[in-house]
Amino acid sequence: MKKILLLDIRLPRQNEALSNVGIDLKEFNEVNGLKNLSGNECETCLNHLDVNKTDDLQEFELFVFHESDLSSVALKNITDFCLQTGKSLILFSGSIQQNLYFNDGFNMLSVNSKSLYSDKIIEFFTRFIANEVSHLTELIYGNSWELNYALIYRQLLLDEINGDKINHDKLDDGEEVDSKRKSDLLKSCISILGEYDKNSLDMLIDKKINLF
Amino acid sequence: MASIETNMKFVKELLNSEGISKNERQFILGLVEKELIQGSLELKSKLQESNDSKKGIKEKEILDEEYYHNLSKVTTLLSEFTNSNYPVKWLVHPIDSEDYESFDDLIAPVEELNYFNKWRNLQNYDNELWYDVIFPFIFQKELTKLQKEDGKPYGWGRNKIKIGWQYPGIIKDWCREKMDNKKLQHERKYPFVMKIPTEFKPNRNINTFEDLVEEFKKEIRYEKDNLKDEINYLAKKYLKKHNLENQINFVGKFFVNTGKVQKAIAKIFQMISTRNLNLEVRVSNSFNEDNTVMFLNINHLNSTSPNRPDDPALEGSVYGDLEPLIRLSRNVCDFSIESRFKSLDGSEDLIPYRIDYLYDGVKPNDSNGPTLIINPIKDEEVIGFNFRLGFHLLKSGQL
Repeated sequence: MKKILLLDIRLPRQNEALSNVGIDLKEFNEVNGLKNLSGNECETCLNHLDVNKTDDLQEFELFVFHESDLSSVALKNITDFCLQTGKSLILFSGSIQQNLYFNDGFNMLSVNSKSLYSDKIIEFFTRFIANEVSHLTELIYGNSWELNYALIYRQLLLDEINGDKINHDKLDDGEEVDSKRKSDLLKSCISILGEYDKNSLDMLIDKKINLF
Repeated sequence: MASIETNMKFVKELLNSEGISKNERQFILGLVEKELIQGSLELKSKLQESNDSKKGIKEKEILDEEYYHNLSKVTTLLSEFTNSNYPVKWLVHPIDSEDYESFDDLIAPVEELNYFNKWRNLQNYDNELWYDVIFPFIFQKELTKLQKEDGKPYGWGRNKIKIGWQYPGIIKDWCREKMDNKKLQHERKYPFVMKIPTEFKPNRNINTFEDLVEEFKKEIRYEKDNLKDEINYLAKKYLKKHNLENQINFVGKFFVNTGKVQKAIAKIFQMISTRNLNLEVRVSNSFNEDNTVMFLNINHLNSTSPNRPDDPALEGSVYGDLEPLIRLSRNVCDFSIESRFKSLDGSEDLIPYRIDYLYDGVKPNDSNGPTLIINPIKDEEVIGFNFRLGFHLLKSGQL
């Protein structure tokens, strides 16, 4: 069984977010394999992360942390820990506008709080604990995650064909702000699916649609 | 001492006198030329001295040890934007708290006099960050005197965005209609969802006030791979002949005046671009022992310095090559250079040194440049001429 560590320092906010999607906090806390930190436990965990004390993190495979709760040093230390151990990290916050997946040596997902605290959260956590989740983005798209990213990827390629400059490394002066979001999304798609041209992407999409 | 006019009159008479040979005439003219050049140099030097002392007095009045380079003050202040205990957080973060039912609920705590004064003091550390970013976005209610009288346009950040929380009043008006006095949660809307009028959009991807808030956060924070992207962008613009190897692998976050960092990196790339003997540039990041400082290393590979590390050209004061970089980095990031220099013992050997310009506790010297620390470093640590920028990362207890 895999274990998950969830850290959201403001319990009333978590309670409200869960109740908004019809989940009772008590029921949530009973998910076997999930440790939902509260009160002093959050402070202790954050203090340990600040000084890179990671012994008590070893038993978990997935860390789900509110981004604002982590200091810059704590964030650096948890990402180093995940990189060294191959564990996964989900950062969430109400201020994250765009859900993005990164793989720079470990799996990291950055999501808006609403994407985390959705009616799918218990199912996702339960499946992760049972080792049935094949990709972190299933949190957002369920079992159609590949198809969704293929469709997004295809749209970005079409935008580029139609004149949008998306590849950040190829931008001219003054274009960086306009294209940054699409560029980030394109990087996510490539991290998840690998690099495709439009034709091979069409074939992948057909294949994935036929599976449904 | 004879005046210039008397001397010239004498030379003229001498040259016009009969019996002076062509060679003697040439010799006299040569002497005159030498005298004139020497005089001109002395005059230039005197003018320079006079300007220096005037500048010295002027800057001496401005620079204060407390404000010279105090990164923890600036970084701690900026990190309030991510901390729920401080009211500025709720001006850059979707409101998920019941405490805010009106525009005034959001703005009044920010305007409380002590709190405002704490922020206003930022101008002493980083004048541009206060006047070009924080003040116009958060605090400004009306046009400043300069804006009214000299027509300096209102705007914040590198894109000169023309909507702030309080000026020109668009957010307040919107809140009066959609947020204030709506007792039922589902009826109350928060300003982040406000659509931005077309004439205020800095680019086509900006649709809501939340998008503008994101632009603001880019002015004060690097996160995920934004720094890596920025370096690629600047290298493409300034390093036309050089090859860049971008090894940045930082996906975290830190608070800093990103506009000044961008200018400092651009300046470094411009300096490298004038040195074409070696064409490889490697950019990487590293950390100190407890991960509280991230170093950005911009390394011009195989490049060395023609100077001793204590050469006046490397002083970092008003006339040094590095002065613009020191100016941009003060209260933004620590700054050092590492390379092989001519040895301090006078031999012709090239010895690896680090020169620290801006560091914790640095004080200004007599000419208002930073007091340098010059230390020999390990030979294997030096692979070229490295510009090292140090960014401070905070721990939870410091927020």
